[in-house]
Amino acid sequence: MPTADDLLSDEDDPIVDDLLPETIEGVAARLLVSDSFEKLVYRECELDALWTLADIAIEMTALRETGHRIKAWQVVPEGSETSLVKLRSLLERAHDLTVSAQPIQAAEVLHEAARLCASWS
Amino acid sequence: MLSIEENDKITQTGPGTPMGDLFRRFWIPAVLSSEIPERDGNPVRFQLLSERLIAFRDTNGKIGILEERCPHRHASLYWGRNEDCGLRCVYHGWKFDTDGNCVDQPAEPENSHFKDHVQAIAYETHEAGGIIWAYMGPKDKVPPFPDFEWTLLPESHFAAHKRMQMCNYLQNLEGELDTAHLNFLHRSWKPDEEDFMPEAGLRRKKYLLSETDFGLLCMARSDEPNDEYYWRMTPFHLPAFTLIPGPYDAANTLTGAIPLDDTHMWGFTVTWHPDRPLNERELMMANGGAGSAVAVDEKTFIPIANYSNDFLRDTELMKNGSWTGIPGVRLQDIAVQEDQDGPVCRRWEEHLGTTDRAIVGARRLLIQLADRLQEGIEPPQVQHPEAFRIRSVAVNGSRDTDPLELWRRGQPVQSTSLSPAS
Repeated sequence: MPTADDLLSDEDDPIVDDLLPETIEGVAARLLVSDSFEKLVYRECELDALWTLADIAIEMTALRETGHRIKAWQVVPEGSETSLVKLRSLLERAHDLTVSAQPIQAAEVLHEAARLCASWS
Repeated sequence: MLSIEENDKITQTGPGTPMGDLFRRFWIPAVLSSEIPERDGNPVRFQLLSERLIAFRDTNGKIGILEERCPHRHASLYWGRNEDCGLRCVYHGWKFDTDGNCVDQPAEPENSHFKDHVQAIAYETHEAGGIIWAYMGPKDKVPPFPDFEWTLLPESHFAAHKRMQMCNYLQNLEGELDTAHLNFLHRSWKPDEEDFMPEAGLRRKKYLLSETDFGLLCMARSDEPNDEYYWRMTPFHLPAFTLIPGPYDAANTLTGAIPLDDTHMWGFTVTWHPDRPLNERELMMANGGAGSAVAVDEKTFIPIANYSNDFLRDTELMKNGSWTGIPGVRLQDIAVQEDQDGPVCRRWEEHLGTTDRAIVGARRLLIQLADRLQEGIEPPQVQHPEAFRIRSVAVNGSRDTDPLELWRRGQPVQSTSLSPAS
């Protein structure tokens, strides 16, 4: 019988608070071992969090010229706006594949997203 | 995050919509029994799933829920005369029984059988637990009535309440499942407390889901001293019910978010205690005394405190003990739920995080079931009436205790399955 800690292991309850390649690869790795309704919902939430970060970064980057400052764009160098939009699009694809119970395909898309983020650093 | 198409699908429940079809596979609360207390009394009119309906209790006590308009010239049957086992339209005298059969057409020729071929739309009804329930789906798919615990108890053990809420049903349902908001929206503190933020252990929870044969069990865990966890377990039972978590021996409260149309809902709440009559305080809270229910206008069921009067917010109180300044938990919920982009949240633009698991899980379950139904697969949960006999759970447990075991300990039927319905 599983204990509370088994059900809520750190691997299954990660902190997703940046767009670093290792964070994205972490979600991809967990997707490959997610085969239940519950686990796929957990992964969807992690993808939601990544999408949130990308979407707000895009929003704020667009406002950069007006003097807005926000931490979210710190991961994106100036001139990377197009890449950021591509990243958000990849995260959306991974999200939709997860919702369609295709975690392996979703993980492949996340590898591409992680490579894109790695190119910024 | 939902797409625009998914948001439309999950929020629209009118006739012929995928989510409307799903709701129409379940028994749903229509009106309180107290709204039509007398045989041959006046009918009441209301909307459910974007359909205009009337309910009446006939001479024999049998209940009818019919389409509001008379099939003849579409006059409202709300004005009808409820007498001699039927409701007679005041316009031309057509009369209908509780099953929608036209039993009289006084203006037709004497030998005409016209009435035998005329039928009003009528839905299946069931009266239980202070509520009149409707089944609005295909006649050959009427499910067994769920074994809600309070419907099996004496009247003294429960109280049912209803309110109108000015938003889509999903905003209320998601709020009920969203444990993370509790320590903020409903926060109060003593004036001498320096820091009004909740303790970190309380505000930072871990979230866990378990698919069950009634729907979804949403669990939130926070750290407690003495090597314990505090667990709040909110069952989401289909199509749109939740139980407010509470201790094993406390009264239970069910909430239902039932679509009136796509921008309004009926909020049904039922409080019950399985072992004794409700006490004075529980009755007061259950009937609109700042607990899970609110004081409402007797005819419209619109809360007395509402958007038009800022929900009676006391801004002075916000400095001295109330996070919102709005009186009562339910009103605090309504204040935020009625305006998330207005009555229908634009979920394709929101920014979710990893603590939104219960909300995402409920959405996925509803959409999945609605999609399957469109493919001809009926929701299996409706065939498990026993699975709906559940109680709420909010308890401390040692850190090595399986939370699902804590859940089972609180249930009246120990065999309650936690496996997904098949």
